Amino acid sequence: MLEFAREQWLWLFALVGVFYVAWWFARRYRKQRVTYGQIWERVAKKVLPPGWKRIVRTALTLFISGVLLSSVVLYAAGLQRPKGEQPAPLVVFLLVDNGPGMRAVQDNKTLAALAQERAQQIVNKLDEHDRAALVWKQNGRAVVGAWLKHGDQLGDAPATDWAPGTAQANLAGIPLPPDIPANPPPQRLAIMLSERDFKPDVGVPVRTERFGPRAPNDGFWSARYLPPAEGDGTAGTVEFKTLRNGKVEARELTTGKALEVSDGRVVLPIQAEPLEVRLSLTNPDVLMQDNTLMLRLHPRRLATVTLCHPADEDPNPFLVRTLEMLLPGRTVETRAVAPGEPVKADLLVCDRVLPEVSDARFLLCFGVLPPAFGATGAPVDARPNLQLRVEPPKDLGFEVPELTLINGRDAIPLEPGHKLAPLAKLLSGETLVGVRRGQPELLYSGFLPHRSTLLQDSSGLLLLLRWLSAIQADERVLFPPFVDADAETEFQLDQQGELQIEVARGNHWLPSFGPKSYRLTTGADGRGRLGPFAIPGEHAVLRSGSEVARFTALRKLPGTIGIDNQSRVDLDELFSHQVEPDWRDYLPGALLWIALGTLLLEWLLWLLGITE
Amino acid sequence: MPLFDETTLTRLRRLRLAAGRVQRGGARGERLSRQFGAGQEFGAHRPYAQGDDLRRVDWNVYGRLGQLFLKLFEQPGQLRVLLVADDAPTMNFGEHDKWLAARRALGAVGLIALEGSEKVLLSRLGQPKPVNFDGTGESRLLQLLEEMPLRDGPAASAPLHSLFERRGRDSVLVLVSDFQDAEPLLKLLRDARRSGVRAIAISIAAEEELNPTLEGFTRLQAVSGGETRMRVDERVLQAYREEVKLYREGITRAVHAAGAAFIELDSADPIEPLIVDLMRAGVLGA
Repeated sequence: MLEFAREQWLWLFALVGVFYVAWWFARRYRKQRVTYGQIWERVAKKVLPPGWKRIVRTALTLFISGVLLSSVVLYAAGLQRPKGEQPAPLVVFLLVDNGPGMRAVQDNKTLAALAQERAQQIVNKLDEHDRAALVWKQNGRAVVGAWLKHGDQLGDAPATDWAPGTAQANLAGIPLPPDIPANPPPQRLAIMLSERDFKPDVGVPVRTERFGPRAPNDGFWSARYLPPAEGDGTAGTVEFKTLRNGKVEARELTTGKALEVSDGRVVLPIQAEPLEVRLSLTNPDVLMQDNTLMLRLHPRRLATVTLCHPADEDPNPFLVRTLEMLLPGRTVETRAVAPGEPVKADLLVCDRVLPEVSDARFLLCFGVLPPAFGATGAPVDARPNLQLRVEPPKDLGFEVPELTLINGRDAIPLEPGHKLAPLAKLLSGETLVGVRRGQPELLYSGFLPHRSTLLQDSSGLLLLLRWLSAIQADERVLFPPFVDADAETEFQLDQQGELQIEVARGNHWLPSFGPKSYRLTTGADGRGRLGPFAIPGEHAVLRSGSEVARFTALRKLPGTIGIDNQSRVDLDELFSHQVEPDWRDYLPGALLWIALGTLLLEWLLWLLGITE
Repeated sequence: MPLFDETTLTRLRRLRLAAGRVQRGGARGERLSRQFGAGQEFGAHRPYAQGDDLRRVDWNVYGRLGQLFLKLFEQPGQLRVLLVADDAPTMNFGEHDKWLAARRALGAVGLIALEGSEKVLLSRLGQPKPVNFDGTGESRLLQLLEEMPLRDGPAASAPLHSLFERRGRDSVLVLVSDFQDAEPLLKLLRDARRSGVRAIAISIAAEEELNPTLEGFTRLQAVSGGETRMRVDERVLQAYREEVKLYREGITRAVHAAGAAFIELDSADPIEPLIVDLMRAGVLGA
């Protein structure tokens, strides 16, 4: 008739009770030898209340103690109905959809968070012997979480899994938790919580709960960066596609300038600062993670060009035109050198004069050289084919054309001891043309533009063109800024290299299952293949621990999130297997209240003087 | 356990010397005396004990009975000091034992009296058969007191009463008790008064029974029998102290009504002040 979930507590309380009673009686009957026995008897008659009052109070005290202790014992020992009368435990598998669509936002919460809240509600409805377990998809496989019971907290929703399809699992074969009664046999049930409309086959009855109102989803799913064509005066073009052809706006983040978007194309401007362009959908939707696209390009772009010329001369127009031809899209600023006036530009062209103060990343010097790199000598006449043949350094980064046919008058060679790599020399060994790679990039020409064939000879122009291309070239441009997350993308670097590719910290899809880091080694020619990637979004490319580039892996997401026919599982009906409570469920609590009531009665009787 | 340590005995000897000087000053013989002693008038016989003066042996009796008896003569002015100890079980109580204190008091009085060549008789209520001591019986007196037991049953004072009727005058009764069973004691004191015997009642009490330090649920087992169960708290102790105070006041009045002097003594008190008080009152050495 009475069974206890924790019977050992009965023995523990019995042991404690024995000790308590022994202690109580020992304290009650402590002997003390006294004289004046008659006086003690008189005192006892005087101070002790009448016998019946003592009996009443003692009886009440014993009753309260007994009832209170019984209540505590029953609570601790877990009074329960016999196992034969108990309902069959319910084992609920909560199939939580953790696809990317669950990251859509509804009422300021993601669908994943809403599903997790719903799962928590179900866990809170569990009976004492019922158990639940979360089931989610991880890298395409079903994962069953730890057993949950009433009161357990679920924590955060599972990360997003990008594997296609639905996880299949045989939930009927999952071993049951050992702490639930095996008789009667537990009932297994699965509840699917998803924004999609499907019913998985998991081997046990499935009840589906679909939520998330049907809402359109727009987003970037394809993009391509087109490097600038020779002489187009741009930093390249981005071509993109969106799911629903929504309006897209583009903004260069460094300067804050809005860029023009037309027909799925954005033309990127050339600027000295790092180029960071964000493309975003004008109208946000429920799934915001695919609504933006980032492009980051190399900052070493040549944007501003200044030509310094002697103050008593006009700028060489032929040189200006040549520079504008070689650097399309850029304006060549001319300036007569004044003492003490600073000059700032990306490319500083010094025609026989050198400003006292300058700030430039690239220097093109004709007949003058900053003292830090060497000194110039006396003018000489340079005749064609009367120059030494020079083998240029191998790591120069560009091919040096044949320069021996260039001739000029008053060519200014460099004094020995300069720090440039010679590209052309006089027969006497003095350097006429030299170059320096690194910061700053420097090209020195002893051939003066107005007194030589440097700008008329194809080899001279070719030298300038290749040098300008070399100083603007960078492997980041060679790395594709956008790749298809589900396909391989081929790329070509300038040399062989080992790269580490990681999901970027700012990637909106970062809380996802799947590999987050890759190691990649290009071929000897610098060619390599990229992808596919488990997690879409922005990735960082690291070389020797330093970030050298970023790219975005794109994946096509559903154009619609949520469903029309939402359904809810009736939890009251689901957990109606619970039987009505009977006296065994109420007994511990009733005893507690009886004890408290009697305690109040005893206090009132004492207050009224009925007992003492 | 000896009644007195050497220090106490030394102090008592000084008091005995003082008492002797007072007596030798001429007080002896001025009293009306019917006591036995070393005088001219025969009074009684008593068995010989080791240390007695052989010159006082009654050789005639020895010739007839073959046993040594001393001839006791009534000495004019000799005082008879009757020492009576209440050997009730309640006397065995207290950290400073009341029974020990009582025997010390009687021993001190007896020693002083013997020094004054007074006649000393020692008895206890449970076995009221007085034992006589003369001037040479100090060691016997102390030995008897050390070995004196407590009684098991009720007191019986009838033989003492008969002693008063026969030789009441020139006698002093020194009664030491805790007066917890007062009725036979008061009867004894009244009998003494009727017999013309001066009586001094010394009431001994222990600190534990005047101001008990009990607390909590206690089974109070009275030494005299009976048991009381109660939870002792300050209210109970206050009532007890008031009852004890009333009782002791009643005893004081009753003792005075019986014509006896009444002295209260704490079982932890030293004995010398009591002797000094008795000497000043003329009971000893006067």
